[in-house]
Amino acid sequence: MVTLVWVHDGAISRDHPVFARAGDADAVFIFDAEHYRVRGYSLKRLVFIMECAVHAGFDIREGRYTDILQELTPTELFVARTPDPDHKIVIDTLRKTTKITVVKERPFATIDREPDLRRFFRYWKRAKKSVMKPDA
Amino acid sequence: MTSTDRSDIIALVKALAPWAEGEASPILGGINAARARLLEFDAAHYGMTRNHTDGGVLRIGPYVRHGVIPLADLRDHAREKGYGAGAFLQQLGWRDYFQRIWRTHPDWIWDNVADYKTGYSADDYADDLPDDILTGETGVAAIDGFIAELVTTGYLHNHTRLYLAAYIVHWRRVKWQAGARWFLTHLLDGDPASNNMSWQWVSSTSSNKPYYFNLDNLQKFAGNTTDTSYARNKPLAGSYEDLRGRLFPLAGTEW
Repeated sequence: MVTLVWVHDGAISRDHPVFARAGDADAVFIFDAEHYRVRGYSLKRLVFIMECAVHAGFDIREGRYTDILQELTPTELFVARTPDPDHKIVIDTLRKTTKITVVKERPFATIDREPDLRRFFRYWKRAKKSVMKPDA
Repeated sequence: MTSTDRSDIIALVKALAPWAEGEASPILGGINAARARLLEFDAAHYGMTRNHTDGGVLRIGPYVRHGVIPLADLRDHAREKGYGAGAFLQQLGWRDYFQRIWRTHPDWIWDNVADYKTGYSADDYADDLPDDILTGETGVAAIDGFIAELVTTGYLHNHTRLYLAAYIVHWRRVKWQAGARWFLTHLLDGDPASNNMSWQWVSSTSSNKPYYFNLDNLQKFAGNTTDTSYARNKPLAGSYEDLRGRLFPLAGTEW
């Protein structure tokens, strides 16, 4: 039984709740150069991302996200929630063969139902109380 | 275990991505660098100066973008330090707001939320950035300074981002998507949601009117950090009424 945490570039932290959920699972950060090439990232962005991953002490692999994760053959994969469509494609692909658990980040604001997001202040009116007060 | 020495990290990235352009930013990655920023932050100074390009802003965006410091942890830190009474937590709220948009309205990230309110249609805007913007040789001193800062450091003050975006969309009439892609190439905190929705706001495709500025505003908020002389920034000079007439001659009376 191999459980694994996939650390993607939107959640490079051991403080993310995905680690509490995954127990003592190994964690891997994958540097997918092709993903970044398609997005046109400059060297400074890539160095910053790699530096964050290296300083967090993660096992770092290089290659395509899906290829590396399939090579590691986890029976269960834990991953931090992500809105990134490229990450979602990886998750959807692996879900066909692997149990995937997506873990949300600690909430910044607690709102009963999603507000009208066309204007920031409509969101903020409903988010403010829980953001300002710890017990709200 | 990969070496934490910066020169080793840069060499590794260059080997893995030989196509990547430019040099590394002087801004360091990693949790220790992020914590150092938190220690240096002066909340009182922030409240008084945050709209100025040399103001006491936290510059924590790159670390939040990549989850090195989770947004909820930053909120807790702010509460603990007493920043909560000011505008700081509201500013953090923008990040949460944009992430919610990305999750629930992914089509807003690259498509116009609505039409431009500039008197022009989307077809009136160029698809690509002109070369003089890419090279930072527009001849408008402040704009060229902002471009150099973006390309060299990968970071811009939020106000500077708005100035540069407004110049590209409204003075040069380029589609906001072209500018947004360019920012994502360079900004260390470049996030499609925060970045693109801000470009849409400047452009007026997600707001009721375009954001634009004049040289007086630039001198007030950026005069300490860039060349805002009249002689070298003439296209930006004029009253808001003058500029409206020059930039948006076909706009209606809705704003």
